[in-house]
Amino acid sequence: MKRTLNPARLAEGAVALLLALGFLWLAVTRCYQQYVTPRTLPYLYFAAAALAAVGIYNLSKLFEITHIRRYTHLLAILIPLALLAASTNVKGLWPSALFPMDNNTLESPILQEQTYTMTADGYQGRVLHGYNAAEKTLTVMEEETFFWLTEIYTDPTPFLGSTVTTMGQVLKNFSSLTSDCFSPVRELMTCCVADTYKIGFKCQYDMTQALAEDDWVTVTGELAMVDADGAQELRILVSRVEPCSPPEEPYVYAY
Amino acid sequence: MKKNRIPAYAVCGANVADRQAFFREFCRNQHPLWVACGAGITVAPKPGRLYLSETVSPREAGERIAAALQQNSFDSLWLDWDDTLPVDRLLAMMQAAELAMRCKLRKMVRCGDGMADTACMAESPVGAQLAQCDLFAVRQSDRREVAGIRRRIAPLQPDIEVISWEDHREVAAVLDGRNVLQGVRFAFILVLAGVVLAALNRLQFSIPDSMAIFLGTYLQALPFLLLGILLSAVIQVFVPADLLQRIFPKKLLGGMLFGVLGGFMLPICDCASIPVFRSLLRKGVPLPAAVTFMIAAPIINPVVMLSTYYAFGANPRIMLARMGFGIVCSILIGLCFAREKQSVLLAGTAAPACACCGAHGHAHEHDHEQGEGHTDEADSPKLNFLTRAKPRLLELIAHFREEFFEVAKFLLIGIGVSTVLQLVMGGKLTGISFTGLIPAMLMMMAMAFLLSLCSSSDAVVGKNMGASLPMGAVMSFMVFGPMIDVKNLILMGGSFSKRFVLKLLIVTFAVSFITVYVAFSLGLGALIA
Repeated sequence: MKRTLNPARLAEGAVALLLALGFLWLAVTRCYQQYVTPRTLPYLYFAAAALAAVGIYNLSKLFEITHIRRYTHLLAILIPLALLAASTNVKGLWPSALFPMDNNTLESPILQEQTYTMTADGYQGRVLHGYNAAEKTLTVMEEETFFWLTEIYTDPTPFLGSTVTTMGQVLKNFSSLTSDCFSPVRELMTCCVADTYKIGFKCQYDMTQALAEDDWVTVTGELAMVDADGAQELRILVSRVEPCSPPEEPYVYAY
Repeated sequence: MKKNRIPAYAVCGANVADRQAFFREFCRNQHPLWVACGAGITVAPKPGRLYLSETVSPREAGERIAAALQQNSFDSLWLDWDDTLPVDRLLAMMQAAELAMRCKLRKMVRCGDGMADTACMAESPVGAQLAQCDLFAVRQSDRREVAGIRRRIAPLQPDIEVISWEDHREVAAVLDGRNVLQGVRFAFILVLAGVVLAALNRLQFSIPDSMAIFLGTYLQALPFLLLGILLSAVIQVFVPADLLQRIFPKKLLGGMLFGVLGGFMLPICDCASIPVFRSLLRKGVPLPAAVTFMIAAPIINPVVMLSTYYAFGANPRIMLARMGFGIVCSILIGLCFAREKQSVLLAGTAAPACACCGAHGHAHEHDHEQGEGHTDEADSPKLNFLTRAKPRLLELIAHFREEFFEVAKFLLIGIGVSTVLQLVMGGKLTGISFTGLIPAMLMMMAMAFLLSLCSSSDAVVGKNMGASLPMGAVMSFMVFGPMIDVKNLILMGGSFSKRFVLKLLIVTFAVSFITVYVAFSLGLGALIA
């Protein structure tokens, strides 16, 4: 009996394996963090394995004899695959993964040694870094932005008077920000890129108007309670603003 | 030699008179060779006719036909294929080297009574045969019946042409031409995707942002959908139908409470619960219990409870309230389907379109647990564990693959719609603030429906989005969203009747709205704050 290659099986096996490889690539290079939170990582590996199983199954049936050969259903894989491939240029997935940017992150080995244990409800016991209680300095590390904001806004008292250094994108056009205030914000991803929020400290700075919206800056200043329209409000009284390059990871996470 | 191959047509059907009538009516060739294959076919020995019994091997049959073709200058081959013979035998016969050199199978046709054939396609070789047919010529059917038959067959062969036998011209056109349905559909989908992107661009929405939202939702949803499909395939292959029916309590309330328990035990989100729900129905689990499971699972499982706990600053009362609403609403919604007598599964999806079965020339919901209908080797007690496990594993992957391609398209459509809605309406809705509980609840439920968030992480979004809204509105977001949303609605549309999906949407909305509203009007907000 003549063995004939079944092109439909070959096509299906190939696209399933390609998507599996795409998922693996996203996971290994951490590019998936441009779309979803790190919590998704094990599920991405599972998805890659499941798709690879479908691909291998099809390749094992490469010589199956069929009259009808279906291809339309492959669009269910081809469309996301094409979008992923197109995003590699748009989102800069290849360069960031292969050639890490030389950015101004605030992480350093010394900061790693300066630990602080969270007390805010729901996060008790979580260890944060960059706080020196003796010298009253706090450097907010990128991946801890959400947690420091949660801790400090839950109970700011122990941190009042501390010199805080944080980085973010300048936000001036927001309803609660007066002309002398801005916020260096980071994008918080809670579920996927469809659900992101800007988070950051409220900063009081005389030269606010000189700052350009969306510029990346490192801000240093003293944490203080300020009287604002008769109510006490937590702000960083800015002493220094320096421009910096955008971070390698565009998002911060709550996990 | 290959260039001069003559066309071959296979005419299948239950009735020999129908098959021969089809040949007489539609064969336009001058010198066709008519080959009757099957048991009990009586053909008068005359020129241009050949009879092959079921005892002849496919290879030998192919060689005999090839020899007949060589002896005379036939311009086409017509195979009269009886239903008693599996379709893979026909395909294997056409692969015989001698025959493959002389002719090419151009069209496979089934002719007969459409309603009768589709009614039995899950339990007979007809399903496997239809999966390989280009054309189904149905006798005495009006347009409505033809459309219904096409819908039933679509899960097996979406590109099949279903045409009334009386439409001679159309039937002849299909026999003469190529089936362009697949190409047209392929091109249409690509053009549609391009048009949507162009429209978004024209409406000043950034294409990269649109793509990022689409991919973000896809990467979030697909792994969970695959998990659900895997669970569904495991149920199909490894769990005997009678076991599930034994386990699920017979009494209405007991069955629904068991559904709630199942939802609690399985850490799956809304995307995953739909394939499992379908699988439970196929295995004969009562509808109210299965609905209760599908509605409860995405809200009350441990992962969702934990994420709710953390999202609300470790407030166990909000987590317990959400879980309580999930249980109460799922039972109430399940009760609304207690009197449902009609099957809610779409015709053609009631049984899995199972590739492992098709390969054996039959497509029926076979007894997987017995290994019946698959490999005879697997029945042998002498075989070791690995030998016995391999066919089961292949069955599992085959089911997984079938279900994946069946639902993946609906997931893409759902995510596409939800992406467009998020871009177009998301900003507008979040900008509105409400003071009263009812409008705030309606706004948050609309958001939950449109955004189609994963239930494992929607609590943080709900909390942030509803920061200035009453707690009842945030709770309605967290209760209604995981139960049903745009993405799930489209996902369900692929497997369940429109009537059921619409009823589920209305009932879920009404029950969750009323339950949350009544509870918060009675002061629940103060208790859980």
